[in-house]
Amino acid sequence: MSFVRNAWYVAGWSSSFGRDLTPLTIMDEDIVVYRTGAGRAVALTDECPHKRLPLSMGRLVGDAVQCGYHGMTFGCDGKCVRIPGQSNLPSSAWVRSYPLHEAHGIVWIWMGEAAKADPALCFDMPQFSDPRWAPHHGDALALESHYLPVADNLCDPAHVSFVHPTTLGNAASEDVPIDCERRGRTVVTSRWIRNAPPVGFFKAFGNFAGNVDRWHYYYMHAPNVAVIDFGSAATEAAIGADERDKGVRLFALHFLTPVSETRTIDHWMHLRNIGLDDESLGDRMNQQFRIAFAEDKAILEAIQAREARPRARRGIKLAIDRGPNYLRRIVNELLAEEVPRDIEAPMQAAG
Amino acid sequence: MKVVATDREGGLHELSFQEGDTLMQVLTEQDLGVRAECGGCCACATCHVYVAPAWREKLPAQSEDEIAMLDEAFEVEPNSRLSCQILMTRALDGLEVTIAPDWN
Repeated sequence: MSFVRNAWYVAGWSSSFGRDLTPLTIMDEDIVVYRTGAGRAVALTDECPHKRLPLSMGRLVGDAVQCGYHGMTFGCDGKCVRIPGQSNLPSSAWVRSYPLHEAHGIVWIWMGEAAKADPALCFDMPQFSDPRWAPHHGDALALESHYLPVADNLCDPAHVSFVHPTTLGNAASEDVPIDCERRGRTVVTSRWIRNAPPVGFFKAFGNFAGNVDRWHYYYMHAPNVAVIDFGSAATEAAIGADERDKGVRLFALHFLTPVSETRTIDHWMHLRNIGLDDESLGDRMNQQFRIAFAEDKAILEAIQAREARPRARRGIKLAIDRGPNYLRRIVNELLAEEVPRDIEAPMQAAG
Repeated sequence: MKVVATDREGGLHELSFQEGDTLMQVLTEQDLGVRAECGGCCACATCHVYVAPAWREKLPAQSEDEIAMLDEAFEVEPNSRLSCQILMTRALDGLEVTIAPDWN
């Protein structure tokens, strides 16, 4: 399996990077991230082209990175600016510089063709800049899983009844059918559970006296960004599907970054429309998310361990698999766009 | 109104239907080995049938979803269809189909 390269992936929270050399691995590529004196984030290949030492073992010299072995020094654009002991700088002395985009406290990296790295393609949502919403960073959760089963999970509202019984789901939703549609590169799966007891999360934060109407809308923007719009409103308020702002509403965001074929980092955070000034509320909500996402992690890692072995019989596909089916199709389309055209061209006859 | 279905052993079955049934519903009323795992929402390709040539043009066109799902099926032929996507009408009285091979 290969990865969709022409997309923005989260390298880390803005707070993760400073005037030091931070190594990370994305799609099996070793990358070093740092900030210039002016504060701009820079990402370079984390390997000196001379003896392959990770540049992150070297040091910053101004805005350039100096290799810790022989002092070869590379600027923000990846070009070598100094080779101690010789005056010529060969054109081959460079490391790759990755396009970055920073917004809302998140550093995004473009793993594909630099010419296509348009910041306008980067995920954004108006609520980030809306005073009626409070964004709150969560964490970077490492999962020992390929990213696609994680993405499957994020177009799959059915699992919450069984995987997250104390926080995000309860038995009331077990048999409620799920709507599913594809909108371009996005898979939308959703359902409403009407007139049921609140789930643990809304018992804790919703202050509801009786039954609630609960919604889950999962927007999986292929290949790597999921927005989970979920919330509850008192059943007696009888809100319509388009009036979700009247309830206690959250967006849980998941930004998936493939580290390797068997490892994924999920940077997660939330936005909420209650308790906007209460930082501790964000932290307490994150405690519930931590419980829930650890439950997902346990399941996805157990599946990954099985996937390493051949399966004895074909898998079964259920009605709830429409969302993941769409996701895999979109990803395959994106991958097909990235295959160099000439791979399938007929072989040239030898001269 | 009837559908004539050939099972995997070559046995012929006359199955009655009503307008508004899907072909999958008709085929699963008896146990002819049609798995229909997803229940009829075009998510699994286990209700795969071959439609007799004379009937192909009379069926509703394939949706993108059906084409994509058949792409993941096995032993697909030009006359392959997913029976959950075929809504039965009076015009399909006498439709002849063969149940596609199962796979494991």
